[in-house]
Amino acid sequence: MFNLGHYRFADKQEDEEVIAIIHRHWFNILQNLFLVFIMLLLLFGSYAVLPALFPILTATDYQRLLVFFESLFAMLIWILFFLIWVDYYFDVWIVTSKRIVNIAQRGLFSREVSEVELDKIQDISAEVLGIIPTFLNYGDVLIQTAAEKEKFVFRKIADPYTTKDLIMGLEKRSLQRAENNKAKTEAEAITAALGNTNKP
Amino acid sequence: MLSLLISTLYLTVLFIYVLASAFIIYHLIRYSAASEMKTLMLILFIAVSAGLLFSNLLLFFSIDWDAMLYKLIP
Repeated sequence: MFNLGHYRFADKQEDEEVIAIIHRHWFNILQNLFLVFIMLLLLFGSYAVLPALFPILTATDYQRLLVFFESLFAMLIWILFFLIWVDYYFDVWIVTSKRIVNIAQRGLFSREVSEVELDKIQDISAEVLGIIPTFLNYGDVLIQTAAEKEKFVFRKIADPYTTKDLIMGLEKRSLQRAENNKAKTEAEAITAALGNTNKP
Repeated sequence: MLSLLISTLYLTVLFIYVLASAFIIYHLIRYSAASEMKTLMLILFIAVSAGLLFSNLLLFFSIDWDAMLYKLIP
């Protein structure tokens, strides 16, 4: 089990323990990075092929021009790579001992944070659809809630069945804790009432 | 005249690059949940971005754009 004590996010309560930080499966970022790989191939390919195809490019001035444009292209690839990485890394589900926080990052200018308390969860299901997801064991976990946001979806996460079991276990623990608290409050109320009756 | 146009275009590209980098750095600082990952990614991003920018600026200023344009568009 990883030590997640160092993880911090907005509104984290003092007595709240981070149980799991869930990102999309690595295959998803690999799919998104496909364009970057193609661009990298073009970059290195052009450096090797273009001077052979156009001998004029071996002249100092033109060679400098070619390297300048390739450098510009490398800057574009670098920014694109990080934009994809930001989209992947900040799109996260945080499972704590009290709730699930869903942070949906879409590009640089769209970020949505929603949360559901564990005792508001009504139903959880997990699904793995397709050949590659089955082979690599990734898929969706759908959570039906009684909260304002009715559906929570963990998209394309690794090992969805284990995540589902984890959340179900936490939900049961949370309900148990709520029942114990309720019983304790009732017992205290009865004790207080009895104490009042026994007074002369 | 053409070299001025190229300089303006280049400045625009650089502005977009710096702006995008600034937004990425802002996200890394503001939203990273794990502090070690934040530091690592910040160092990597800033070092490589600055390196690429610096080398690109050097290349841009090493080209005699007027002579180059004269050769390309006689």
